[in-house]
Amino acid sequence: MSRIMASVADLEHLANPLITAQQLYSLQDDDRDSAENGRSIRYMQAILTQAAGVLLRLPQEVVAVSLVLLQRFWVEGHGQGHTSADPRVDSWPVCVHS
Amino acid sequence: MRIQGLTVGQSVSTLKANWFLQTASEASLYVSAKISFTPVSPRSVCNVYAYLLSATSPLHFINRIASSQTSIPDPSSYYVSEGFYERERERIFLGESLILSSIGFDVQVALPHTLALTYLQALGVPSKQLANRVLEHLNSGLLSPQLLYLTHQPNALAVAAIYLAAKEVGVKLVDGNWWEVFDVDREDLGFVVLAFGSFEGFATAEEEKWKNGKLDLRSLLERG
Repeated sequence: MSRIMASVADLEHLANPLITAQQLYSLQDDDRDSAENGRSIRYMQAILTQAAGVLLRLPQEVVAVSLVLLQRFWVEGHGQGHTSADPRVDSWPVCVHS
Repeated sequence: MRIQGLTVGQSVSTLKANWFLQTASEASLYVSAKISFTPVSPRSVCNVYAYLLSATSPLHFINRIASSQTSIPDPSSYYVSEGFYERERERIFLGESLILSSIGFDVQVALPHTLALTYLQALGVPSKQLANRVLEHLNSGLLSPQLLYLTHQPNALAVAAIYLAAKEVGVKLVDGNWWEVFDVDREDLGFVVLAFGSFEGFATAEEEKWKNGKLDLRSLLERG
C-alpha cells in the first residue's frame, strides 16, 4: 500500500492537471462577448505579476507557479454560469451588497 | 460575504476584469511565495504593487510616458500610508482565499524548467547559450495567451522549447524523432513550438496597442 502511495506522490512532480478543450473555448467565448479585451487584460496582468516577482526578488520558479495559479483561477472562474460537473465551480463566492 | 462598492448588478466578467485584476495578481504571488522557501510579507507586496501601479510605473501599459522618462521617479507617487496598507493587506488576504477556493486548493505545479535542463544533458548539449534560450522560451510561454502551461504537460513544453531554441541558436541535435524518447508526440511538439514562436509577434502587437492608447490598464483599475 505504501509503495502505491509513494508512486502517486511522485507523479505529481511530473504532471499537472490540464484543462479541457471546453474550458478553453468557454474562456474565449467570454472574451468575444465582453469588450474583447480579455486576452489583453490577462496578458497585462501576467506581466504585472512577473514584474512584481522581479521587484520582490522572488526566484523565477515561484513567479512561474504564481502565473500558472493565476491562469487556473481565470479558467475556473469562467466556469461560472456554465453547466459543469466540477464541484469546485459551485464554491465561487457570490458578492452581495446589502 | 460583503465587499464594499460591488453590487449584484455587475456581471461576473466585469467584476473580474476590474477588482480581481490587481487582487488576483497580488494574491497568486503571495500564495506561491508562501508555499516556497522564499515567502514575502504583505507589506512588501503592497509596496511593490503601489509602485508598479503608480503614475511613475516602469510598465508601459500603466504609464505611457515611462519610455521618455529620464529623471528619477517621484517617490510620493507610490507612497503607502498605514491606512492604505491596512486596506491593501485585507485585499491580499481576501484574494488569497478566493483564489485558493477557486482552484480547489490545488497549488501543486510541475514546472518544465529543471526538466528541460535535464533533457539538455541527456541530449548531450548542455551549452549555456542554448540553455538560456530554452529558459527564455519557457518563461515567455508563461505569458502566452494560449495558456500553454494549462494545456500541455511539462515534458512537452520542455521538449518544444529545446527544439525551437536549438534551431535558433544553431545547435545540432541528434537525428531522428528524439522527442519521442521524452514521451512527446509530433503533434504536440509542433503545436507548442508554434505557440512559442508566435509569442514574439503577439507581444509586439500588444505593445503597439499600449503605445496607441487603445488600452489603458490604469483607467480600467480605477473604474473597478
